[in-house]
Amino acid sequence: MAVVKRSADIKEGEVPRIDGANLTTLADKGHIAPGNDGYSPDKKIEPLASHFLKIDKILTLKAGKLTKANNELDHIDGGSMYCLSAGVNDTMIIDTSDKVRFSTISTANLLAYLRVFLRSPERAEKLLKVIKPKPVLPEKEVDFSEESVKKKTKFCSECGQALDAGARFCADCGSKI
Amino acid sequence: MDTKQNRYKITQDALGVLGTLVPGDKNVISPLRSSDSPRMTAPRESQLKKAGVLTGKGALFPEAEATLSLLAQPGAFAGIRISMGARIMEHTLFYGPKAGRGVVLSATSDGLEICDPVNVDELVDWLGQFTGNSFFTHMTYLAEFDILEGLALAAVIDLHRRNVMRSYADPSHTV
Repeated sequence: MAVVKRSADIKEGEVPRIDGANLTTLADKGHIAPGNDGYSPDKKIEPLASHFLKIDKILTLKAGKLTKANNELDHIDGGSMYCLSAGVNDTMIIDTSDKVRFSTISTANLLAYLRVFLRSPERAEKLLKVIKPKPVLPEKEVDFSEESVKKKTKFCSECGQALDAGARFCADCGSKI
Repeated sequence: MDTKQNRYKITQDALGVLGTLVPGDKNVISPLRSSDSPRMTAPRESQLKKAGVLTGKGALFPEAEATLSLLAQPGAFAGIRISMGARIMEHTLFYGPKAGRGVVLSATSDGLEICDPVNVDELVDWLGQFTGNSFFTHMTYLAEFDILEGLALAAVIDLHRRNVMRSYADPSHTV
């Protein structure tokens, strides 16, 4: 029942085979790196392999509709998608439409996506392209050094206690700030 | 406003029989389409009466008839399948030729359940119990490849993953 829109260069029923050229292209793009024992993931995607050490859930999404012309099963852009999950916070979607798209996604975004996918499979395909994975770390690195913290923290002029952010009175001596 | 939901619990092999209860062809995406010619038997009739599909006299309840008519000629479907070890659950939503009302066919270890109309929010909330619901991700990765490159990358990642797993069990094995 799964509807997989295949790339134009792969014929129906043909099992795609990867060869050295595909590996070379991936290495040229910097996704994998050649080593003594063959290719291994490049440093930037090594964490991806490590995070998905034990895949505990696989979610498969599929969609189809009938064409009006000949009453045959039509293909919907987006085809089948596989969502691999290793625990709660490591979730990756492999979208096998005409391109293969690997993207990490938060479970909240995944559920939001599923709501649209189940209501309108055709709209969902467009939505997936706008769901961008959230960066793990803040874009601006936070400085937690003692000096920086002291600089940013306000103190009571009367008793010297550190003040809560936005406080109008000192919680310790009660002085107005 | 609450919409009344009709739920029918049936067995897998009853699907084909349900197809015989609604007249006309079943299209290619219809779950009621059956390659063999299933027959109504006394035990099955009794089971369908118990499920609320058939009346005491063996006729289709009007609500059940409306549900089965949509399942006989759906215009589109969207399905989700979640596998967790040996546990597999599958929900397929069928929509009529005109978008709007949808009927869900759920397959779990308890058998099949037909629910009309589908409550998508309820279904997604149920899925959230298994996936979790967090805006946090451990890492960010987004890349697009052609099919062969995608397969090659998946193979390299999987090989690395297996090597790391093996190194845990066999310290002499290095990654």
